[in-house]
Amino acid sequence: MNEAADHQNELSRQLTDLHLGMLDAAEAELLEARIASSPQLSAASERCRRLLDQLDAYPAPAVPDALADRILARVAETEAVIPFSAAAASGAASVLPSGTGRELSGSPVLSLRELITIAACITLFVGIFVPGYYRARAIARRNMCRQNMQQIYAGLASYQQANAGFLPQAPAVTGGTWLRARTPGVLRASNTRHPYLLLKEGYVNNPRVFLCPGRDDGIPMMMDNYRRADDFAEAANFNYSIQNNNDRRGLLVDKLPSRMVVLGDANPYFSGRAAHRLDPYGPENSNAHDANAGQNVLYITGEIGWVTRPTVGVDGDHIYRAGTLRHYSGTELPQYETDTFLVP
Amino acid sequence: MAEYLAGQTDRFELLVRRHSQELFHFLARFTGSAASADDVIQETFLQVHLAANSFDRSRRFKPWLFTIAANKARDMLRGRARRPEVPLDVHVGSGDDEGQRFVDFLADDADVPLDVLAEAERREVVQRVVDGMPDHLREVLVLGYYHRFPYKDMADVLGIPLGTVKSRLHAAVAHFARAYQAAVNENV
Repeated sequence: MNEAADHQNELSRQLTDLHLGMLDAAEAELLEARIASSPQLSAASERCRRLLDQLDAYPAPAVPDALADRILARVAETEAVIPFSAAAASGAASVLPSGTGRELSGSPVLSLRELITIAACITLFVGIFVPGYYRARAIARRNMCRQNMQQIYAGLASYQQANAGFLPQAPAVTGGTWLRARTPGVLRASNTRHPYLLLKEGYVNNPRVFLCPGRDDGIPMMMDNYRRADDFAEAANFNYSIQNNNDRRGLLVDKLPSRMVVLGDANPYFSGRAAHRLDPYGPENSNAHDANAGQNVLYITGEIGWVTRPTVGVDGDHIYRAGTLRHYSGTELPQYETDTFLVP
Repeated sequence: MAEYLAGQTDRFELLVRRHSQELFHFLARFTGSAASADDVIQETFLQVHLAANSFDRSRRFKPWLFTIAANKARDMLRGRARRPEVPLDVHVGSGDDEGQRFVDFLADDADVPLDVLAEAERREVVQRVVDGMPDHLREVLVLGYYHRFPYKDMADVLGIPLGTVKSRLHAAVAHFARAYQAAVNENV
């Protein structure tokens, strides 16, 4: 059945080619002999011829007067602007919207030169605007981060006024660690319990202010009543680092020097609340913004600044380390009164 | 063209006068408008003039000229975007409906009233049917039927493989047969 249909189709193609004059002499002769010997084929051939003859009814459009003269005048007019030799030498042809592009590129739309020009323009556009876009976005995120710190500072200031000048400090947990303990049975006493008091007691109402916009891993803590909890539910609810306040003596604002840093972007030495040791080749700055380019820090006076190195504590103290300690298990505290040690 | 490139600038006029009439006919049928053909033909010869240096002297001038003209006309039609698009892979004899219909059309028992229209009416119907064909089919039909371009030259002009030219021309004839038959039936 399919063979018969294929045969019919092939015959129809051959008849079309015959009447269009597309067959060579030998093929035409052979087909005409077959047509002569088959009444059925002869009828089909006649029908094909009659069909194609209908096309002759489409008259050749009348050529406008002086068409050639007008073409030559148009070319001469252009030649007065672009001499042929100069145009050819400069490749002026390729900037026209179409034409010989097919020979150069195989594309029915644009020549190779035009494609290269477009690609160069796109590259230039991307080269100019994309870095600008990323720079603007990074700056915007830094500013949003700064605004978060302002709100946290407002909460801290209110809290210390209502609590005899002390910064928020949750009850001590004897034997607890502020890092996730590797030994079973060791109690958790995370450092985030302290800033959680701001949320718990209503000094900060929006849990999103504890999330740095420069990081993608923040999740705002959401619950009906923050008073039911004593800490952020998970590390992702608070992705800044705050002064380690696990010393039972607490932090009295009036006794802290004005250059004391109390809050900053995430400490680069700790991943969430996991224990870590310092990597001698690791980054010094926080990884929250611009590939470790720097960090926002909040001083005890309420001043907020963008700093590009971590040694901005009192007397050049490194804000992400406790004194000179290099190994941390979760029980380490600031090594002296003015030692800033920002931890998750 | 070779003489023109060799510096005989008066040869360009000869090329224009020799080819402008046939090229105009092609463009008028392809674009369906004498006014559009007039614009496109001027653009075409201007392009020939500007791109003369890129002409491959081992090739013939006419297919190159028609290539440029077809590209210009296609650009113009694309800008006008007035015709409906159909898939490019319509082939006669490849088992699709169009091929089958053409075979049916050629069958003995087909009753197609081809000659029932008056001459003026037939001219109007044929023109309408050809103008209404998809661009890629009308293009190949005009080149193949009205200008008697061999398959190889059409492949050069259109920049498509020889086999595609053949199947496209057969598809164009089939399309014309079907559309013409429908138009005649409407008018009878």
